[in-house]
Amino acid sequence: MEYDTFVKSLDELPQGKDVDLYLRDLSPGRYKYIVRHVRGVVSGRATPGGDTLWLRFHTGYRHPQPWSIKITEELD
Amino acid sequence: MGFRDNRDFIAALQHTGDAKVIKKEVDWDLEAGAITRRVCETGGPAPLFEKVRDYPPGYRIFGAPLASYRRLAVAMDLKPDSSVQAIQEEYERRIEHPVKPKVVKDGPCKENVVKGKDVDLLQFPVPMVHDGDGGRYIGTWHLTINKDPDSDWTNWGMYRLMVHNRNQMAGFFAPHQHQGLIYFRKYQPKNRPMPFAVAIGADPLSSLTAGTAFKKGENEADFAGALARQPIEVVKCETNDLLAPAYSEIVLEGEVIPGTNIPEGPFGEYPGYRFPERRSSPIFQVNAVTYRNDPIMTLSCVGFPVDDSHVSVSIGAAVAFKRSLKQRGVPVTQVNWPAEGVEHLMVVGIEKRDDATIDLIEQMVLGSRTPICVTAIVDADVDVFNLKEVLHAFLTKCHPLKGVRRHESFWTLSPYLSHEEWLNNKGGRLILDCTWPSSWKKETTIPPRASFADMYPQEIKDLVLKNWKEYGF
Repeated sequence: MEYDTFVKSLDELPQGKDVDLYLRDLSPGRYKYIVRHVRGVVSGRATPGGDTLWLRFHTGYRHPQPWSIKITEELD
Repeated sequence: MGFRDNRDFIAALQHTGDAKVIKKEVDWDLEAGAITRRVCETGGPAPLFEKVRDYPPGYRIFGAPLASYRRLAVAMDLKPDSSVQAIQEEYERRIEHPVKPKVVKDGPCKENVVKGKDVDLLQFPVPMVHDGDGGRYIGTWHLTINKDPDSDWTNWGMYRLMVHNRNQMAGFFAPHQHQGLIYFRKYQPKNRPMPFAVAIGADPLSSLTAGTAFKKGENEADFAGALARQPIEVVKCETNDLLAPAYSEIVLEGEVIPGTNIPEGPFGEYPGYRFPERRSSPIFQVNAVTYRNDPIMTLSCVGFPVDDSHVSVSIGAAVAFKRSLKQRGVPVTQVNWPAEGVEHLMVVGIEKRDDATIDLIEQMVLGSRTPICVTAIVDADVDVFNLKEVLHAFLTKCHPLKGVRRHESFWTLSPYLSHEEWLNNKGGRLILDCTWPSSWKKETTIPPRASFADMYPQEIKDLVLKNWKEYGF
């Protein structure tokens, strides 16, 4: 799976511990960009079993390198 | 008479060459937005996208409905090549006579009704308008309907709306806008959900009035009727008591839920930048959707001028301010809110300058709820609709020290504001006095303008004009 999320800065995202995020599902098709509120563990590099996570800053610019996320819980 | 629905309007635009059917399949994900943006920047015809990727035949998108004065003229049943001044003057004449909406029992927007768990906002081809937007925006050219619970005031406004999931949306809430005013004063403090309806693809003049500045307590529906010269037919919603235009393509019904927060934005906005930064919004819970067969989404790809918001505000806000000036006794000639000024520039022409007049205009600008940032006041010999003349007046008549007045104000969508100013609702307004000092006399002090119109005797001008072709031009 592939997602993106918006962050003010990369420092805002603590790696290796649970963090609550609004993810946009980037799966192609009619429901692309639908939002999921999840708890997960993010990493600045690819993680085995993890999903791809692109980061966008609040201006909308996309960080060039993808991160990864392991979703641990659906929040709502 | 005005168009009862958007479909007749589109057909009329096709007839005048101001709309074009796009038969090639386009992607709702950026492609439709990019085409519409380019249409805005090149002055092209409004695109009607007939085939949209991932969506069944008949589900269409109509872009840039009023992104040109020609299309606005057609919407008002005027000649397409009417001047801005002519459109403005006709608009002013018509809104003098508000026409109450007519409540009907049924309408095309009820051809399909979906409620509760079956609601799916993405059954419609909601576009990803600009790359980097916070989500897919279902509300870019629409009208949001809210009612003041303590009066007869029903507000129609145009506030951007982003799809969050299948049945929830996030919206941009500004406390000084009417929707924010009603919600933050009347509903949120009592922890009461605020009913809303969103009409997408209503007739063009209903959408126009929703995107235009009317005063608190004024019902935009009455002015839409005035502009259309017939009552707007409205029909009761399925799940609340709000009334929506019966010929809308799609109507979303629901409640704004206090105490909830979901992210909204950023979005490519009318000043021509993608901002403000991502913010929190209460949830717009959608409880029902009604729509016409083969619904047409409307898309305003706001951004660098000229787009639909610039055109609609340029007429509506200018007329509103001009009327207020006249009511206060200001010797106003014309007011222009040029579309190129991204709603931030107003040009006021006055018959005769004196300090009291400038002071009065200044007070009225500072009291205005509009996003105006810069007001240029010019003499009667400057055509306020000719930006070349306005710029010339600013650069030659506005004294850099005595002619500029700066004031604090509330924030607008102004990219130059700092983060702290945003948080504290702080902005600024600038008054540029581009008139000659009232003590200066025409014969002795005011320098004549060195132009063809002003520098030559009439007989020489007549001679030159008569022989223009003979000179070889």
